[in-house]
Formats: sequence, structure tokens, C-alpha cells
Amino acid sequence: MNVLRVINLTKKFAEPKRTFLRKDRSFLTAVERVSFEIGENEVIGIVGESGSGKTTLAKTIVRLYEPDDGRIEFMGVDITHLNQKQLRPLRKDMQIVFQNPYLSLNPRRKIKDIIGDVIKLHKLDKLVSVDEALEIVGLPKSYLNRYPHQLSGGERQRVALARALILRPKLLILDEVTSSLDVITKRAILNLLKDIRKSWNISMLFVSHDLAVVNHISDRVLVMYAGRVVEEGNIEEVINNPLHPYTRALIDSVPDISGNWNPKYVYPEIDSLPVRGCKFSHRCPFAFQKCYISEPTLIQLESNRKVACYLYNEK
Amino acid sequence: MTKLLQVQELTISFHQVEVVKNVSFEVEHGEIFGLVGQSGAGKSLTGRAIIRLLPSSAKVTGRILFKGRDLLSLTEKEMRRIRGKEITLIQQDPVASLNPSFKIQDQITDILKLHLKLDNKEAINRAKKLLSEVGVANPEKVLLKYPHQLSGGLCQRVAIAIAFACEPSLVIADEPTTALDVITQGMVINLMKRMQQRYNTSIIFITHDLALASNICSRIAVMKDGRILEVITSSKNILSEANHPYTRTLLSSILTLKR
Repeated sequence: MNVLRVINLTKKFAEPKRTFLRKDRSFLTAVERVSFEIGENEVIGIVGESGSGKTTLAKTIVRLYEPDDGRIEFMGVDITHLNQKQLRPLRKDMQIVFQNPYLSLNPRRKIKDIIGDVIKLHKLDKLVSVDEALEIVGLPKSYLNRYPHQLSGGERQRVALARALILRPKLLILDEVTSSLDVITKRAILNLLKDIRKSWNISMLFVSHDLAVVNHISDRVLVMYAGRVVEEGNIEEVINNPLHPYTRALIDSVPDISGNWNPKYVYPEIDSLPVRGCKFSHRCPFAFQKCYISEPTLIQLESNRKVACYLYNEK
Repeated sequence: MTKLLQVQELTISFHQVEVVKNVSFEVEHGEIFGLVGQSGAGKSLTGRAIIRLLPSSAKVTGRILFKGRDLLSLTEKEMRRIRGKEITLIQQDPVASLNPSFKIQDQITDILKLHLKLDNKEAINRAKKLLSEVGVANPEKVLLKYPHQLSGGLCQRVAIAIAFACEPSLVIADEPTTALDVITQGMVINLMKRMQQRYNTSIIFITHDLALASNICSRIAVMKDGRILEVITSSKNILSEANHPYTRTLLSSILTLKR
């Protein structure tokens, strides 16, 4: 059984029009018809630049945003329209960790209270302890009486992870958890997540703008652009043989240590997305007439690869 | 020819705690010099000491010779003539480094009027030219916007335009791409290289990313706990040149696309 199934998920945000008399509202579609599945003990990576809708997707899946269309199934249960009270027992199995540990931990509470609250809320007092939570993430017990400001960025992110992991969730959503950390700390957090994955039965959705980070931990990857999934596949296949021009740009942007890294596929920034056609067409060096007229859909290629680009034909 | 910048035995302490200890290095004319280390290594403090932007509680000793003058002995008034004109700073968070309550136009023209004594019309024209140099597609439109209306990448371009506005001799780039996504990072790096070549500016490039530094800097100083551990003189050959165990740790932490 799949741990998570997302079908045609769409999230729009209303953009207030600044016209005095007009009341019609325009919408910004942050996530457009995204579908994917996460199997048991599987790690899916989501990559894309800022504004591509990765975080919105993550937050919509855990219902921190209300979806506008589509379905979210968690452990076989349709959670798309459950109310917050009905959701609460499920939240134990579905945890999210955010990008900025400076903001996600309450600065006025001690570490033991930050983690303790979650344990109490889910009535796990008799089963687990706060000590255990710190043990999972490799922090000493002496940290229990500290406040978040007394910890470094990496330690804070560990506390945020401990708070999620102590509930032994089935699904852990990680939204850019390593972006604010330096290389050594980043590596340490990734290794911690890898160890947990090896010893527990846990699925993860790993969101990041950095393909190198995603490569380190994921089995499969979804590449997002302008709210759409433009490419999907096994991580190694995607990196070794990227199909979508945007994926090539992402791969090209990762500096290697050879000293001759020179990002070629750096596409110009744009003010707004094209109204018609492929959303990437205005930045794409391979775009032809058709790309400016209609938008390609995600098509299935051989061996579990999907791509949304007119350069490829369905097999 | 003398070196552009000579930092000699720089020590920075806060309340008797030394956070930068006896740091010495030199920056040549037209060179990109890397300062690499983990958070808390003292890289940013070193950069800020050069442009004299440390808080007043910091005690700084040593010498910072810029074109032969010791910056630490200058008065604040003398320093103001250098800061923003001859030595400039690009900060990590592009949105925070711009003033949220002024239009981009005012923020660029201010510095041109102050240092180059341009009048308003000349300054606006120069600002437009600067923005197109940093690859902004429609400078007229961007000039009239406020920082919050622009994306992070665009704000960083504006910050770069301001940093290069008076054709400085030295730019201190403090983690200029850390807050940006990888694609925008590529663009900003290309842009900084191009600007550096056009104006023959020296750059001190502060970052925690050794892979990034090895690709754009000619020499790299590796810092840890306030000390420079080693200076890699040919960063293209960093893999064979790195001797210090800590540098090797940093190198092995780099995430690549290989498994």
C-alpha cells in the first residue's frame, strides 16, 4: 500500500487586483495538477527553484493549506476534506519539518517543553520520553533545559527533527531542512536522516532546491517548475540522463570541485510567466513554435520516467 | 607594485573573548580571494573588520593596510569616504541589505550623488546603465520599485549594482549566494565574475561552500575557530593542494551528483 497518494492536487492563491472598481480576482496557481505516490520506506525528492511551488505542495499535503482541487490519500484514507479535529490523530503519523529552525521553535520555551508538548498532545507519555527524542538525533541530555537561542543552527534543526521523529511518523516531510546550514552540518543532518531511514520503516518527502542534496538521500525525484511537475524518475536516471531542459539547468548549477565549473544553462530571469504555452518556453533554448501555443502534459516514457516537454514523444 | 590589501595579525575580541585570532593575508589587485569556513569560523567578522562595520563592542588589533594606509587608524569621517566608494560590501540576505522604505532608484542614486557628486539626472542615467550591466531586463521599471516587490535574485543584482556603482577597488562579498537557489546562484556568480573583470576589482569572497570557492577564487584561505589554517594558492588544484585535515573534511563534505 502507498503511504501517500496525491492525485491532481491544485492550490491557488488569490491575488488582489489593485483596481478600484473591478472586483474580479486573479489567481496565482502555485501548484497545478500534481500527482505522485510515496511507497513504504521510500524517499521522494522534490527539486525546483524558488517560487516553483515546492513548499506550497508540502504544506498542502499536510493540510496547512486547503487544496483547491484534487485528492490527498494518506495510508489509504482520503484526507482532502477532513476537518482539523479529524486530522489530529493522523498528524502523529504525518510530520513536517520546516526550513528555518529559528522560526519553527518557540524562543520562550525550553527544549524539553518544545518536545514534551508534542508527546503530551498525542498521549504518548507512557511510551516515550523527551530523553529518547534527543537520543534519536544525537544531542546530549544536558540540552533539555536550554532555550533555542542557546543552540546553533544545526542543533536547532536537530531539535525540530527530534520533535517530529519522537512520534515515529509513517511519513516525514522535510521542507528545505538543510538550506540554512553549512556544508559539514548539512552532511551530518543528511547522514542522520539516512540512518533513521535504514533502521525505521519511514517514508520521506524531501524538498530542496539543490539537486546534490536530493541526490544524497532520495530514490525518486520530481522536478517542479511553475507549480507543475516537469520531470519524474529514478534519481540516478534523472541525473545521468536529464530530459527536460529545466532539469539540465538544475544539474548544471551544482558546482563540482574540478575548478572548471561554468554554468552554461543559466536562463534569464523573467518578470512573469507566459500566459499561453509551456511555462518554461520563454527561458528554454530548445523552444519551438508549438511550445508557445499549448502546454505539454506529463507523459510516461519507458521505465517509470515521466516528462512534460514537446521534445519527447510518448512510447 | 604593492598589494591592494594587507591584513596583518588581525585579532578581534568581544568582552575579552578572541573570535578572530592573529589572521594575516594579502589580496592582490584584480584577484578573487576566498575565505572559506563553517559558521562561526570568523570569516564574516574578518570581512566586516576590513570595511570597519563591526559593532562598537568589538576590540580590533593588528593592521589592515589598504593601498598602503592603515584602515584601523582612520577616523570615521575618513572611513566614510572609502566605504561604499573604494571598498564595498555585498551581504548574504539581499532583501535585508536594501532599505525597505526607499525605492531602488533612491538607493542607487544616493551613493552616486554622495561619492561621485553627480546631479540627480546624471545619477538616474548612471543607475539605469548599472542595472542593465547586471542583467536587469527593464531597468526603468525596476528603478521605481521597492525591494519587497522584487525577487531575491533581483534584489541581489541590485545590491551588486550598488556595490560596483563607484568602481571600487575591493568588494567584500559575504556569502552572496547562500540565500539564493542554485539556478539564481549560477547567474549571480557569472555576473560577479563579469563585473570583476570589467572593473578589474578585487573581491574577497566569503563562503562555506568550498566547491563554489574553488571555481571562482584564485586563492583560498581556509578558516576555523578564528584562525587561518592554510592558504591554497592554486584553487583549481585544490584536491591535490589541500594539506590540512580540516580542509580535507570540508572537501569530503561536499555533496555532488555522483553517488
